[in-house]
Amino acid sequence: MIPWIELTQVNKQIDDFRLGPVSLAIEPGTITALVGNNGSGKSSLLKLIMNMANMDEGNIQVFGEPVDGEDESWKRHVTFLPQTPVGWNAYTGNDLKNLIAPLYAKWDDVLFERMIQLLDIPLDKRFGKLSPGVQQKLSLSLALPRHTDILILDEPTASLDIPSKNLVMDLLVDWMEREDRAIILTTHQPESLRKLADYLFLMKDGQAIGHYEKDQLTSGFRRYWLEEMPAEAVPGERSRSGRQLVSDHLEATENYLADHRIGIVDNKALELEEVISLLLA
Amino acid sequence: MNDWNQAYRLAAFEIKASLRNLLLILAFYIAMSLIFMMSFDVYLEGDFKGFDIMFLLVFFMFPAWMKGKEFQMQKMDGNLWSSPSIIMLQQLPISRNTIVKSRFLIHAFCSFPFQLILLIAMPLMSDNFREAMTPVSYAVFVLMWLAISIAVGFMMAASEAGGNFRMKEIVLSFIYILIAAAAVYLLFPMLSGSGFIEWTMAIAVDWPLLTGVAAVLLMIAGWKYWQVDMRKTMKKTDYL
Repeated sequence: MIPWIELTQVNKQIDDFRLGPVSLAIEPGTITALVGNNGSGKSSLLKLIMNMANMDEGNIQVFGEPVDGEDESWKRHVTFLPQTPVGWNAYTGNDLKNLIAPLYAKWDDVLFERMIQLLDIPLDKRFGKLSPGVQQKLSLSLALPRHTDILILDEPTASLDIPSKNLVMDLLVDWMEREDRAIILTTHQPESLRKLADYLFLMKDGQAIGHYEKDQLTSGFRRYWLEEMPAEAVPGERSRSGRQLVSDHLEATENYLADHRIGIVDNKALELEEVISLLLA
Repeated sequence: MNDWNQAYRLAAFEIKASLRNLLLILAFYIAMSLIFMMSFDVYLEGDFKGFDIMFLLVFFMFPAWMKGKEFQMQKMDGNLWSSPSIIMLQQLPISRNTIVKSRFLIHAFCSFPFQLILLIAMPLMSDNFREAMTPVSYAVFVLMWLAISIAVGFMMAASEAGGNFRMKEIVLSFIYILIAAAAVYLLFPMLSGSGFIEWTMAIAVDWPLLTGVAAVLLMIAGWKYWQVDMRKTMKKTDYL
């Protein structure tokens, strides 16, 4: 399948922080979560995709068009929602809708009104006067109805209360199901990852750790409770504590334990956030 | 939607959001300027040496300050300086060309009416000015000052694209600008024998056709140059 977004060996020096090399392909019908520690370069990477900054090396293409080329028409296919929208403070929700809606051919007024009602957003107050949670709700209500092929969301649920968070996640799932679309999002919220993401792209200190299919990632890690812990390292061992062993090469670990007649008392797949913590440690 | 139509829509949108404040500030600046203009006759009689610099400040800086704080260039994250509108608009499917044009339209809206009032106030408030100018030379004089407004003043609009600056660079740039302005201000009377406004009056009276043509050329050059400059700045700036 031809990727809708393709990053190839992207590098960027930002003061004393080096982002990259990062290579990533986003295919239609997928939700990819960029996951990493604070300051790992996720937001900067999203801004590079939006051509808000210049790469030092590498190439980013959206629908086959280089984002840093003269032709900027690719932007019609992309909705970008930064973590904190800049330049919105002076405008009311109504103003922002009037600015944004005409720019998108598929703008969906029905969805917009539905989100405004569901999330209880005042449209007559200036954006800068709204609480961070309501600002985020309004930003999302101005993002989804654009119905672009690609949605790029930077921490879309970070400031939301629990009911709104669930509502927004349902809306995002519904939004994905309507057409062939793709979402890239950054999030630190395990429930968002569990519910939304198909793929995880892990980053640490500006470097790409790996691009994983979510279910394969969680099924690839297991915690074993052993009758006794061998002194030497076990094949596939990622960590150990007391008689607990975590492995990411299940077959090799189980073969070793069988060969050395070490009994397994119990075993359990790791939670997604445990796997991520291990990979980012 | 072509670039100009969309630029006009964006400019109208921003102006509408700050119209009330903008009109209040405009009224305040006009009142202040007209009080200042009462000394125009004193300048033309040669008794107000600082008038030129004050007039230039009022003529160029008041329009730039007229915009609401939310729309002016400011320090963003890290070493990024920019107008927040520039960042917002770049995240939407709007070409850089259109963004540039919309910033220029907004600047024109803030500057031209105010500057025209200043220029119209001159013959109304000064007997010396009225006596020196014919209707034709006055028209040329107004045209020339509007050309100067575009050639120099639109630098303000172009500067909204911002850039990635360290504090040392900003301080140094500020010092260079001050030195350059002081040099021009001190050298100009020595070379021309008069103040800058007086000199522009003189060339409008003595060479109206040549001055008019030069003004139109200056307008076109300024209009084109600052648009290209702003596009280049937007392209090279990291809005991170």
